[in-house]
Amino acid sequence: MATATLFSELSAATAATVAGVASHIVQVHGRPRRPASGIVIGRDRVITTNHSVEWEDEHLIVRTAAGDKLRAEIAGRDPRLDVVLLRVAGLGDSALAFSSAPTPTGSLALVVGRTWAGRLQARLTVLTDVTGPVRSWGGAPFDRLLSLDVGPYAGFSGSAIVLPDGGVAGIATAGIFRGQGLGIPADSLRNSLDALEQHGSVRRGYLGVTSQPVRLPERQRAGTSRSAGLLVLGVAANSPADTAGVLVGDILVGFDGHDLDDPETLLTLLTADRVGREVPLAVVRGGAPQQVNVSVGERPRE
Amino acid sequence: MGVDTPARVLVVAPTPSLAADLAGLVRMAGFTVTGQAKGVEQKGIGAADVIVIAAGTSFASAKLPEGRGVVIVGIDTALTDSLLGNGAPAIGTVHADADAATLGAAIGAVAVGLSVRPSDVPERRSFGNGRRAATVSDGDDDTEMIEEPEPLTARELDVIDALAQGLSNRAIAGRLGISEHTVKFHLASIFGKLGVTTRTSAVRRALRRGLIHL
Repeated sequence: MATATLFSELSAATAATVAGVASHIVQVHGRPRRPASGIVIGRDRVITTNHSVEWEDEHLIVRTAAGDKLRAEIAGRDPRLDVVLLRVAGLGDSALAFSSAPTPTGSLALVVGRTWAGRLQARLTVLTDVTGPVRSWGGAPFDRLLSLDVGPYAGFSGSAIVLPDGGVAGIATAGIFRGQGLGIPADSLRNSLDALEQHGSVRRGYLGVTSQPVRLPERQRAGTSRSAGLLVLGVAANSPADTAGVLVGDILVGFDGHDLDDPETLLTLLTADRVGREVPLAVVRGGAPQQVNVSVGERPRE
Repeated sequence: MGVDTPARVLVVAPTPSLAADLAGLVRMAGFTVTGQAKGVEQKGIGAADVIVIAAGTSFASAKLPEGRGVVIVGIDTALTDSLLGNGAPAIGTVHADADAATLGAAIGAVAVGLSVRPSDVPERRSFGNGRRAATVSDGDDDTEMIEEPEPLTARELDVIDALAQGLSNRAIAGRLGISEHTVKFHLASIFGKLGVTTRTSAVRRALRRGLIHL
């Protein structure tokens, strides 16, 4: 009897939580026949996953909970977090708030989104709070991710991960590690969305090098265990790398303590907080290890 | 998928992180990973039934042990031709963004000797027009060379640079002083030249080719 009561209470509580957020869960049509979910997070603002609106079709449409179809435009993309901010005129003021409640591993949450047919769908999930660095498909490390025990499925990407307090703990995405249901946590989203709102892109560091991944034969590892690095193909004139004395032919093996084996890793490490900082760059030059300190510049934006 | 003994898989990729990601997918698909390597000549091959290779892996000097099926992750016609020339009994091709289920299906197919490919990728029967394949080809002197990647124009390089920053089409149009329509035209051309279908993979490939300043 006691079990039945607990069960029915849980059921009533999860249904009520879903009902509480339902009006702010929308559908985003950015790819033919494969609409994603989206979350209303501010006045006329929706977030969904970047990979869901890859092509920027002429008709980027948000279908509201009430069934209205509204034109949407892209306010900004953050490819690193796989999140995109949409401007949707006519959506109104009411929005969901991010939760600042902690989500230790084992916490329950509801993944609330829209099916391809547009119906509200919800799944109960046990969160695994993964602290980084976590590597994605492309080798880009994340500080923190929420791992879900559900997804991906149709309409999964862009779903809200809702905590019992009704707040959003993150956004669900299938675009970071294919085949795995993950969530970008709210604290990462907040910073990114502020930048997207203001500038349409996230602030990025800049060194001024082009490079290709290369393997380091054992003899040429300069005493380190690093088996790969980035061969510098070009250095832009007067760029931070140029000023710091980086040479064409150098092999970059480390940046601020992180191993470099892929240009995408370097792209990801050029975060806003490193702009203006002097950062150690580990280099193999002529077979010998060397440290070059580079003052990270800012990538020009609009 | 119900095979009695799941195939054992060797994962080969040009970088350790890519190999680790692929190995994760292979495990997710229910197979055993016997090893991760940068070339098929390395250890771990003895126990493997199937080799999963990332597109772009250098295969110039490698020899394929007999009887092993191969799954290529990503479209790499040169690698496909090279494997055909080295006597791979079955070759599976999946798109670079294939999920665990798709990759698993391809592994299962080549493990039993079937070649598989996505419906939108043309079949490669022999080794007619690949430069690497030409070294192992005997009678076929087809001289058509399609291996050199087509270079990007200066404008396309501007566009890919903006893509790397995550700019939207409108923002790119604004920055370069061109119309959104023209941006889309450039994107389509870039995607074609790089052999990709998404912005993310275009940026990834351009980065690896050293086309984007970081």
